[in-house]
Amino acid sequence: MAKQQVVLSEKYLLSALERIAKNPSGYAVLYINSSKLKPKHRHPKFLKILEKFFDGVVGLAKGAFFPLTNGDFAILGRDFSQAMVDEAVNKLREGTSNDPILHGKNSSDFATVFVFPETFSSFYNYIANLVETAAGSYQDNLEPEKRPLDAGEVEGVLDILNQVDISELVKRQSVIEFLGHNQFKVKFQEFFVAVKDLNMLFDQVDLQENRWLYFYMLQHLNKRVLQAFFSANLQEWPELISINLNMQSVYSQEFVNFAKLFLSQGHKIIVEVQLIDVFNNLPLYFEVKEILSRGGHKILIDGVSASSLKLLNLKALNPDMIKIFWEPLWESTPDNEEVKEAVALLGKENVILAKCDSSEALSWGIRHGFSSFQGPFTDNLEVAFVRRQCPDAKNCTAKECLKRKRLLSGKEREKCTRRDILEKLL
Amino acid sequence: MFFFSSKKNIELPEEPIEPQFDVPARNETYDWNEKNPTAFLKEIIAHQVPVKALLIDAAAFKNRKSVTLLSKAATDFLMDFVRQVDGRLFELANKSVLIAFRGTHEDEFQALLIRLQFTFNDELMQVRKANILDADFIGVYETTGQLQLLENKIATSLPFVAQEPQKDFKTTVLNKFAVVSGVGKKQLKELSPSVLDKVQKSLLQVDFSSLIRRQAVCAIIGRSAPQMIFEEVYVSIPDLRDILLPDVDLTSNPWLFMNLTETLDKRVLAHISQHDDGSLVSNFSMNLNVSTILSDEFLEFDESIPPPLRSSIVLELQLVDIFNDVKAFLLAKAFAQYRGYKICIDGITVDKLQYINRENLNSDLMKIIWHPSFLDVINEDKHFRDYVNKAERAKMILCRVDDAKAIDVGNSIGINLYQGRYVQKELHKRRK
Repeated sequence: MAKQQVVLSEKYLLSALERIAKNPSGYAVLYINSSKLKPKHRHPKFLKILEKFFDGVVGLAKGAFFPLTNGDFAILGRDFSQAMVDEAVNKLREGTSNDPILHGKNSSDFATVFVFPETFSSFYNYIANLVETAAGSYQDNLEPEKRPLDAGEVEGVLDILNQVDISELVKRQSVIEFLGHNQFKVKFQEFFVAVKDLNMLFDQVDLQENRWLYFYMLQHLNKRVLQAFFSANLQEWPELISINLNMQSVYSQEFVNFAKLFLSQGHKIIVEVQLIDVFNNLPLYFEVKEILSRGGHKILIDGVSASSLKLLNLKALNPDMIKIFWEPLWESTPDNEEVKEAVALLGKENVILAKCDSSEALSWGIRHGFSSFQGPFTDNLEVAFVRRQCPDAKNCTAKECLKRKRLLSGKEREKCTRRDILEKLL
Repeated sequence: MFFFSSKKNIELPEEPIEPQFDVPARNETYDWNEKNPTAFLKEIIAHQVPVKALLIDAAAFKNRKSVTLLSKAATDFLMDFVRQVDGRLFELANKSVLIAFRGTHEDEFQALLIRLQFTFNDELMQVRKANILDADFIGVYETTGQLQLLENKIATSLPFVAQEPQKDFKTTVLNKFAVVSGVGKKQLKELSPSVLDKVQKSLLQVDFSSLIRRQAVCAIIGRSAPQMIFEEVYVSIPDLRDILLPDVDLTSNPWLFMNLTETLDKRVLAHISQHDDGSLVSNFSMNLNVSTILSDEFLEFDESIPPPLRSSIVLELQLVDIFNDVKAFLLAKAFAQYRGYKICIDGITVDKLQYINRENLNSDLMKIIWHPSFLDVINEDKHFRDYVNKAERAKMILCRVDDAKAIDVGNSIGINLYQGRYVQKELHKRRK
């Protein structure tokens, strides 16, 4: 939505308010705080959907809809009833499982009714002020900087990626197991392609925006991750590692080579797969699970949200492990029964709370039965452990230390003067 | 672990070993597309074409289930392999399968052996063989002598019967637009991103209305005549392929195919919104991606549909697309249902029902794919009878119904809605 159009919309609202200024009784404005929604829900596409959710209210109130520069919406009409507003907000809640503003105690956190004439002048002044200060508006920030990839560009992108030294783009992150009494250990390490870094190689396009093409590219990239193991410059390998693979890759020559050479040294692997891949071919999922288990390896379903848990029969799928992504909204909501059940079903040793970014996430996880965690919070814990032991810690920052710890090889990693300590596992 | 065991060739009577793959073909006029396997092998041998052949001999199976597994494999991963290496696949009269390919393709072949090892694991246990290449039902033939033995074996004991293209029973996204797998007539090339790009661009130019098909979803209770509930509007992928790229399998990569369906969704929506076809204002269903429901094109479509008619329109979503982004699905579903549309989950086989929480999925309808083994699956797996209640059965549409048996079976378990060639035929009969 162009800024000019929005300002125009506010001018329309102002002139509508002017028309009823002489006799505003009976009119009201329903003001929707959509600017308080989380950024991804403020995407122009979502705002259009949101407008549709309030279509019914607009119709019943014989009103008109005005999108505002600050990202909010206003509906000017007559006879708003609380029931009408609540119904629309409730529908929105069904559709958005994780936006705190929509899940407050009542709908007034998100939608407020200004009844005229009492609040007319203050509302009029507020809108008049908005028109004046429309510059530097929030809408500017919504313009995506990069466009999604199109199919014609995929092969070119893959050619570029094939020339990049993949071992510098493959990173690792530990999953930490809490043993109680402030004792913890590295349960396993995940090796993955840092997509953020890959994206930085391209100014114009976002590699992840088009999900299907991104999955297509991952089929190729995952195989290169397997090759990266052979050029990694690590002295100490964890006994258990995990890698993200699409299931078909388990049958690839790259995987067979990797297994022959790497796993022959007594290492075991956890193959992390996505739900979309599982549901694309369920028989293959069971096959892969079986093949892996014969070698003492495991399959892990990655990126499970509370919403996806609700739609799955986890018992029937029976994965060896799952990774549930932490959602900050959980801090302020009651215990999540689906998550608790999943932990009880698979056993706490087989569920990981990932994207764990705070001590609150950790406490929440422990309360829900988790003992294994992954994310920025545990990364910092690990780095703190390394730095406590490192005599050269003063020569770098914790951020640099973490960056180097995550790399498998390359110049940045070589800047560390005590790689023996850097590689130490908890 | 079995899949890292070293490759061992099947033992055959001693024959003079001939150099393989290095010998240039005597001449290149041989017919690689020869349909009869015996004639094919004769050609290959006569022209010294460097070929590796694999025979999976159904007659040598000890376990009855293996024959079914092999038939399934022939339309699935064996076919994928053949496409990948530009090889040939023959189904023989006794259900045996012969594969032949030129060049080394050692990596792909090893991967295939791993897959076969897994597929026929029970069979191998029964015959007490650890390695698939040691089993009697598998034979690898490379040298001229070996190929002659193979040709003789097939000519004498495994007469070839030409197979009609079989319907693929994959439950993936490829079910979406009623895709029929390309087994049989022609070996198709895999879809690549650049070819997909061309297809997407060409779609803007083709006369799209000629690609739109309709198929009725009908209520049939007992022996009653079918009553049409709504019509599914879909794009015929085989026809689309024939018009744009006859030698490319548009469904060969699931992710590229899903990307293509997003383009098709938008063309279908535009086609319907413009009311090019005057009758399409109510009582129809269409396949859509979750992302399409959240797009501008859908909002435009929504504007073009009078609100009272929306409840007669069904939006069909694929399970794989739902799990691509569950949060987007929940928003799209809440939004579409709020606007009045019905949501149908498409492309589920009866044995897959147990892997989803259908109560929370809370769709208005659910399409279940009919297959001759439908009743066996229900009888074997208690899930359906024990967990799928009456109300849920009433929401089910049994699709791909090609004969009356499907309706008898469906009726016996409380399914009332049907779709497929048989239903369409019965409906036409009645209209006449």
